[in-house]
Amino acid sequence: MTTRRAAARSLPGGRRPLVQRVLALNAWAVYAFFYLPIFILMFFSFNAGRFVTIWEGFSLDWYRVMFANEPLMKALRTSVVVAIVSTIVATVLGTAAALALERYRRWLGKRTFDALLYLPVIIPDVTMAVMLLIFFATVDLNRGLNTIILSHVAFNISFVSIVVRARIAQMDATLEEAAADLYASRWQAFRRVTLPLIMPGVLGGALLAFTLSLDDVVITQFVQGPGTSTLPVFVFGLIKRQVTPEINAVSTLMLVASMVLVFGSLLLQRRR
Amino acid sequence: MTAIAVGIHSVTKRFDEVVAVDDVDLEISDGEFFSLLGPSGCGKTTTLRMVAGLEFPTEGRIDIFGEAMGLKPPNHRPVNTVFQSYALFPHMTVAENVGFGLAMRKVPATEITERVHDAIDLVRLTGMADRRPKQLSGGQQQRVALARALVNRPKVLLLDEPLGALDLKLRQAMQLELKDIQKEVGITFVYVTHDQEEALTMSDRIGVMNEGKLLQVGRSEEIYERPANRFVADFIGETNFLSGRVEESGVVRLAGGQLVRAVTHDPVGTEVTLTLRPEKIHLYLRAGDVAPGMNTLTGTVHRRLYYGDSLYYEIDFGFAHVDARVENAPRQQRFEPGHEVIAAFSAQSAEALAE
Ligand SMILES: Nc1ncnc2c1ncn2[C@@H]1O[C@H](COP(=O)(O)OP(=O)(O)O)[C@@H](O)[C@H]1O
Ligand SMILES: [Mg+2]
Repeated sequence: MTTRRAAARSLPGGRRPLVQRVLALNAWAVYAFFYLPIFILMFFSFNAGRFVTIWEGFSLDWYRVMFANEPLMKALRTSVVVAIVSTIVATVLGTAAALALERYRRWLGKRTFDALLYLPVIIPDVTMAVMLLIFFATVDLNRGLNTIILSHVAFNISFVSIVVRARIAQMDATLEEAAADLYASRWQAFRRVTLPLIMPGVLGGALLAFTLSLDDVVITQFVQGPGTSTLPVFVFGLIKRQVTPEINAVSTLMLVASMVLVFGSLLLQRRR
Repeated sequence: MTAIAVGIHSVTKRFDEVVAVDDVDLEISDGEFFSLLGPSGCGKTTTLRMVAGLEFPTEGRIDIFGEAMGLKPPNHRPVNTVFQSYALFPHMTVAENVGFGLAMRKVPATEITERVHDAIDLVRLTGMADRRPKQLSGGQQQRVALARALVNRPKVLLLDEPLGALDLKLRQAMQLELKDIQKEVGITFVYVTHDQEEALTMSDRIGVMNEGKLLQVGRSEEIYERPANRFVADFIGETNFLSGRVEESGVVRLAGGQLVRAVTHDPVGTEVTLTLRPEKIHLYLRAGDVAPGMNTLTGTVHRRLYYGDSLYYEIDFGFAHVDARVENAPRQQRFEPGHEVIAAFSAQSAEALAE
């Protein structure tokens, strides 16, 4: 049966059905839609001229301009500081929340906490931004670096705990019992058994948090103070005034940084 | 007198509505190979986990070598567990798994190396120290789990259906090996299983559980030959049940009116069930061949089943059907369906159980 059917498929003139060809074409179209703009963007960052659409020859001038742009470099430093600090804090707190929700049978308010934890993922950024702004005003906190970091921690905890929870759910809880049975204290069992086993999830969550923090425009714009712009917010402001290949250079830089991060984390996870 | 290794005193464990363990009293002696036997869901694992400190009794008390355990966490109890799923740490090598308990107790590194090496030898995994659990077969993983527990020289070793995941041949080999290891190390083993054959062959004593209750505790022979009730008789091995009534001490009148001598424990007039193992019934064609002093019942061969090493005859007594097992030995008389036969059994092999 099978052989006869296979033979029919390879008969001369038995070409691939139309559906298959359309689907293949569609896949290429989608790739082009995603990656063409990126390539064009990167391409024009090396433009010698001052337009982002007319090619006038190769140069690294716009990268030089970018690195000499003091306010932009300050925004970059702010972004990196915000991303590092908020990632560390959110990863620790998010992992702790994930453990509390996955590993402990019952505690007061667990269900409420469970439901509320994912709120920042669901609600629109603008709503979250207004909420945070009102909160900071209420507790009388001056807007600046600290409010940006607090806000990034607030939304990143949710993402980290989602990723880490998925990993904990996969892990056999008996392993922790085995550790306790083998004289490990709570802390030792966590340090020697639980943490190494959920580490890929924790790193994945941290990376996600780092990327989200670097990316954020809406929330940061609401909660930042004078002179504490992050890079994406600064670039956004730049576009409103003038568009030069400097923007392309900044974007390329951010893209390369993100890719290095993603591949780095993939390599890290594969090692385990 | 030997010391009591594990004392379980009036222990009940409830999970919300479910009574997992129901008022269990049990004392396990030092050096004993003790099995908890019962069907799935009868509370064996829960009992074991309460000894390990992974669960705590709702009521009652658990002592280990006379010391009340109370709410002591597992890491402060002198026991180790071989888990049903083995629960080996996947990110550690065999040697790291086995050495985990010693490392947690801050044993010097040189001593750990030595003891881990010895434990790996004891379970015959020499040369596998650097492998990961994933690179081992089920049987080998089981041995790692055993070594990981034994290396700590616990006062009591708890084993939860450790051979359950292995195939029959390997299981039988491991049964003998486990028994040998237990003799060699002299540690008290508390062994949970739902496999009655396993319990009968390995244990010094067995505790039979059902629905959270401990029904009978005794040596293999006692459990098999003198079951305390119908559940135990039915769960351990195969048996026939014949209903009747105690006529006088040691005599039971069967439902068919016949009088047979049996082991009775109940007063005259009590409704009882006789349990009679298939291999205790001998079949004859002529009454003259029956040894004196045996109970006899006359019936017809209803069916014959061939099992290779034995034959099963289903005998119809009119008021009941009974299975008799006959070894497939040379020169053994064969009976054909429809034959009238005499079934003979001793008074000792018929146990009268109250309903
Ligand atoms: N953590 C738990 N929560 C609720 N019910 C449980 C829990 N552990 C065991 N049980 C129930 O207790 C009973 C005994 O379970 P268990 O001790 O695992 O039986 P066994 O090991 O003999 O198969 C079962 O009815 C089981 O469903
Ligand atoms: Mg069980």
